[in-house]
Amino acid sequence: MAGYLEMRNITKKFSGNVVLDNVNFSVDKGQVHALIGENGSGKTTLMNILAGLYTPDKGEIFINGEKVTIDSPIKAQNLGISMIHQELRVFPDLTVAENIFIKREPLKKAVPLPVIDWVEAYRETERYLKCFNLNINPRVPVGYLSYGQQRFVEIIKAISCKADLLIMDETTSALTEKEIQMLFETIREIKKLGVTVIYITHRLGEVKQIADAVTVLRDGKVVCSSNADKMNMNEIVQVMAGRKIEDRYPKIKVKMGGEVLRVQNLNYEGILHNINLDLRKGEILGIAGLSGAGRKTLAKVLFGINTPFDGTITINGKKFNSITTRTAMNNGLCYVAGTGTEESLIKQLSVARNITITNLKRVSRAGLLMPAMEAEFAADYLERLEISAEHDDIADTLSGGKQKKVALAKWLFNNARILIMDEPTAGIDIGSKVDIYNIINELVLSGASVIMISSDFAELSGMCDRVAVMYNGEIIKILNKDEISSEKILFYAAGGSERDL
Amino acid sequence: MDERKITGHREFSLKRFFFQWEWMLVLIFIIINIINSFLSPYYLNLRQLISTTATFLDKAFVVLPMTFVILLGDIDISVASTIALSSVIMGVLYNLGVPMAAAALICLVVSTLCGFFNGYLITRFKELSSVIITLSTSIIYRGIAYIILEDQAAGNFPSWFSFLGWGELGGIPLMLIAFAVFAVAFAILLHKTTFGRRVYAIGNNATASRFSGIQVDKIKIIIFTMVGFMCGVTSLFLTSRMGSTRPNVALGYELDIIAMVVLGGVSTAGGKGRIGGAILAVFVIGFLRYGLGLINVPSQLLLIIIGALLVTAVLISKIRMNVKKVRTVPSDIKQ
Repeated sequence: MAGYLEMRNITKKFSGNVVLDNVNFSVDKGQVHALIGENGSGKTTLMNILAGLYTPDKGEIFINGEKVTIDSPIKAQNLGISMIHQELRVFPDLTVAENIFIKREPLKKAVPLPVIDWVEAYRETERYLKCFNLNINPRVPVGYLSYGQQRFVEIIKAISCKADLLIMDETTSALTEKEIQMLFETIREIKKLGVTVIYITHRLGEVKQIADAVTVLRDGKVVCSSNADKMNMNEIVQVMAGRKIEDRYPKIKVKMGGEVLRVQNLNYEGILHNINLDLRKGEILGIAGLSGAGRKTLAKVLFGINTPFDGTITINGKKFNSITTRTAMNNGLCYVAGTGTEESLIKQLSVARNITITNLKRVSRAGLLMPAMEAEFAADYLERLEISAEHDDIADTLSGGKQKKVALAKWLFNNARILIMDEPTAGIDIGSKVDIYNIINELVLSGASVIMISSDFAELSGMCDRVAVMYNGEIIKILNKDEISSEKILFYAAGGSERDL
Repeated sequence: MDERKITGHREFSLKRFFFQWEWMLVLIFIIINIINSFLSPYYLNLRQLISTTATFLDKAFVVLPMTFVILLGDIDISVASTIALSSVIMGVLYNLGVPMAAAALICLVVSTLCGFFNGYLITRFKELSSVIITLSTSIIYRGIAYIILEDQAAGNFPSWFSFLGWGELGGIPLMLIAFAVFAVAFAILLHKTTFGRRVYAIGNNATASRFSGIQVDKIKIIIFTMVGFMCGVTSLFLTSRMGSTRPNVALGYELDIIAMVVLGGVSTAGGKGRIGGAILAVFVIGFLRYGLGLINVPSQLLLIIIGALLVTAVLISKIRMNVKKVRTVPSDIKQ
């Protein structure tokens, strides 16, 4: 049966990496179709193609059997396609109604000039809000609303464009359980209006609740597509992870030493609650959780960026009640920030300058920089981490995988012994991932310890000795080596507790 | 991608070296001098040219640390008021019987404190931009100067003090010598030391710098304090040349100083530019002013010419950036 939407043989490459490989994807009219897969499996890229943000290298798109080319977001909009992105895209200083009607404000019919009819805009907004049982004042600037409410404003904006097809990319991350249920209610409402919904998620529990059909992507390929009632959870998890775990995660056994880090009763600004954690020499400790669970905040507290905290942090036997980035660094603790953020590399500067920035004393004499020494050191680290780049290359020109390695090199340059790594492999291809895992292995072999923050639960299961799962700013479960699995992590990360088992 | 490195890497940077804005400034400087020498037969007189520098070098002292401030992505528009306040306090103290040397020292202390106060406020209230904060302190500092001296003047400084601004050593103005010393010191600080490296790091990405262990706030306070100190130096030379001081002294200097830094090719977005450019720009504007003065061009017209030069500088750097953008292929797009 020909679907409402069909994407045929879609292929997309980014700087040589195949992100989507001959993907066939079809959706029936009025369906809620869940698109699932691990991070980096190509879900968002596929939908960005549909929304006109990327153009595919190969492949065709059909809507209602007619071939279409979607080369711009406006084209997508004209075809009735509307996408709600993973990150919020609202104007915080504009009111709810202004946000919803931005760029297509209703005009006063009585006046020949383009004068906005705000009375109409607010009336219309109120109608939508009522329709979805939302108790929001349309005259309030969106910035004053909760995160969840802002989400709903985005959804209304998307629907009010008279969308036939609504794409929701991980819309539930950072929503509360109650808000998620409200969102599902809303989705059911819009389904009644005949709108088709493509729902990207990595929470399997939601698939059961809301989806009519499921498509699973893995490494840029469709591995399975069928009606939701025909699939069970275990099956989905298996096809999602795909190949054998051992090949992807070259975990080695390391003899662990004494305790190097202990966190006791740590509280921070109402975001982190009563965190207790310990890390041993040579250990890889995973920190899992959904976005908004407080994983990064925890890392930033430990690294002295987010201050002050309550509780104690003990590094190598030294107790701290407050910590600065300097003291953390001097005690060998570092935070390897994700390269996708502003926190990692200084992209406009050369690789060498990025590497040496953590310890300029090593490349200077009496405060004067020694450029030759710097180049030599940088070249040495590039070789050791097998980064094929020159020391004077601008960091921004390197590929994602190389940037991640440079971000690591810069901390190794400062003799980091406790590395807190934020999404060490997000957004890079499998080959580069294995490279990074091997570097991590070498690190722990040499007696360093790693805390790995990751949203890739398969990676955590594959590489970690223990995994601490965070939910709403708390560590709700620490899984030991023999009990780690993607499903268990997911279960606790989504707020599951022992009682539910 | 790797082929590029082997084939054209060094050549590329050599090309870039000659594309630097500094060369453009040298060119402009030469053109100005050629035009000037045609316009006025009195122009090409080396002794005269050298001693002329003393007429515009007073504000140049502040150009040096201002380069650091703008490299950070910040700005300090309170410099003229700082100069005025420290100058007025020095004048009043001397007239009250304080020895001149002590008054001069206090002048430096006052201006340094003004700069430190700016730095403190900027790092303490991060939600406010440095424009707003230094605009406010600018009004405060100038206001205090007016309260102290009202519309009076203070002066009658001892003769040795006027040597500072007017004196020459071996035919070279003392001011030019002092400026050369400071310029070399600041150039080394910016381009050769770990401190300078950190300034560029912060200017390019303050967040990443903080996450790399750089004490961003500390460096900012140090730099704003340096600006304050150099305002005091300017204040000494300026007051010495004028022989007396008033609360409205150095009015409008902040614009001249910032204009020199920007004309020198330092990006107001932070992180880009070199101090050599700013130093060149001091002389470009200085000689332009002197030459046009020789042929009696009204000073209003001079303002227009400097403004046009500034717009050109900004536009050219923007065009160069666009060219670069077209040349480099976007390296890696995240999925």
